[in-house]
Amino acid sequence: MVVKINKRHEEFVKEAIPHMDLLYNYALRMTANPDDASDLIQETYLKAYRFWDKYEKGTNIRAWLFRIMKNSYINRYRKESKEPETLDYDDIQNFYNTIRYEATDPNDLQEKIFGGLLEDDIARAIESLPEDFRTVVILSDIEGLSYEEIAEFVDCPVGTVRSRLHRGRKMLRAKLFDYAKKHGYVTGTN
Amino acid sequence: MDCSEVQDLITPAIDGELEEKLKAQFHRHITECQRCRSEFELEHITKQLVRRQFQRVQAPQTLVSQIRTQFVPQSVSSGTVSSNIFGFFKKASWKIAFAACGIAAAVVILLLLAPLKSHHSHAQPKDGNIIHQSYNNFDEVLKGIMKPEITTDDPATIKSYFAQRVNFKVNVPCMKRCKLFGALFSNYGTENIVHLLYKYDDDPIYLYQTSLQAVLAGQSLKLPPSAMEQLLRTGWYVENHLPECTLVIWIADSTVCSAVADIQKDKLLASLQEGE
Repeated sequence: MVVKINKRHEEFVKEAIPHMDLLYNYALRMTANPDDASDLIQETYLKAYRFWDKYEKGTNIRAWLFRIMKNSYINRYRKESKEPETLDYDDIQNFYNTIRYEATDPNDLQEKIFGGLLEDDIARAIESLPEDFRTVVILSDIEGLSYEEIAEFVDCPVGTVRSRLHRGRKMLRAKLFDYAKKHGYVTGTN
Repeated sequence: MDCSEVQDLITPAIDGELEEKLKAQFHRHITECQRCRSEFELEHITKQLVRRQFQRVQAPQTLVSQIRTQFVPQSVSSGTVSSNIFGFFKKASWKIAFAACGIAAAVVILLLLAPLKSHHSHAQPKDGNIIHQSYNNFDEVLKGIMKPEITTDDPATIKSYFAQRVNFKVNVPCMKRCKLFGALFSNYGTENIVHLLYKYDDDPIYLYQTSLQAVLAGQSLKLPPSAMEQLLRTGWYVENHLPECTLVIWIADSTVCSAVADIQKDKLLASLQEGE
């Protein structure tokens, strides 16, 4: 009995603990608060330890841990899923096209459109994304995971990951452009 | 390659996931078509912004060491091996052995083992979160570390066992398909905790109870705010992380009850509601 528990513990520590950074970063972006993120990680590991016998050895442990965390997150923070606000997706495209000829490289363009945004604006814009979209954006752009791994994490086809990323970034930039206009950094085209 | 095909490839191109054979065509189109190019550049800018804004961080060292030490195995006395009652439920081989020996043999074993001693030192984890405590205790029940102090299927006997010890109303629900198995009393700090064990066919159900007042005070025992909010609003809080494992918390009179079992959510809820 003692030997069995020790072995289980050893295995768990060896296999699950090294992935804490990845989970923590995701938790931090989803909760936007270090204390909540730590709580979420604790709960995740507690549950992972408890379910350890159900983990199929040799399968993707990161995806397995991630799914436990996602469930914990949903249980804790589930909000009424609200429809994303209507954003004008073409607005930024039009603006971009008018300034594109004045600029020589993309960095310059980025500066022209989003240069005046505060860090908070960007954080707020990400938080405003509906959860499914926020998740893939975080996993791809911050964690740098491949489509294939993201698909495994969120348990959906690769094609869905791609389209969520595309739509997520589109919502994000429309939102950011909206902030930029409100702050008066850019003057929209209409 | 037309614009609609190119639009579909913009995202994978940005993420380095574009198929090799499509790259040349894609880039040719992008250089020639202004609309597709600006779409590509804008999405690229958005990705860069997110990337630059959120540098990856390391999990705080305190958190890492906290989690590491949380799972240091507790020493289990050798006597536990033979008295691991609920361990039987988890092993198919034991079920077969059970069938072979007949139920009478099982009854003899149970009689020999009762009354069981409690291991109070193992009964509570360090943190006061009721959800964590419920899961941990359920685990210890399965491992045979936490055992009932009295084993009986008579609710009256269990109520009188708690009568002198507990400062809140103990709920001993009668649940359909479930058989009462035993009970254990413990303290967490100054709070009284009631532990009940049921059997649902061959699966154990662990039921944790403490006073609502203590949970509302949130001094030593507590619930995460979102769980608390949901519990007070709807009277229920349910967690179901894997299809076969469920935790349910509810309020009965002024007692907070928390049940954990390796049983599907719907089945457990149905069973608990029968007992209302």
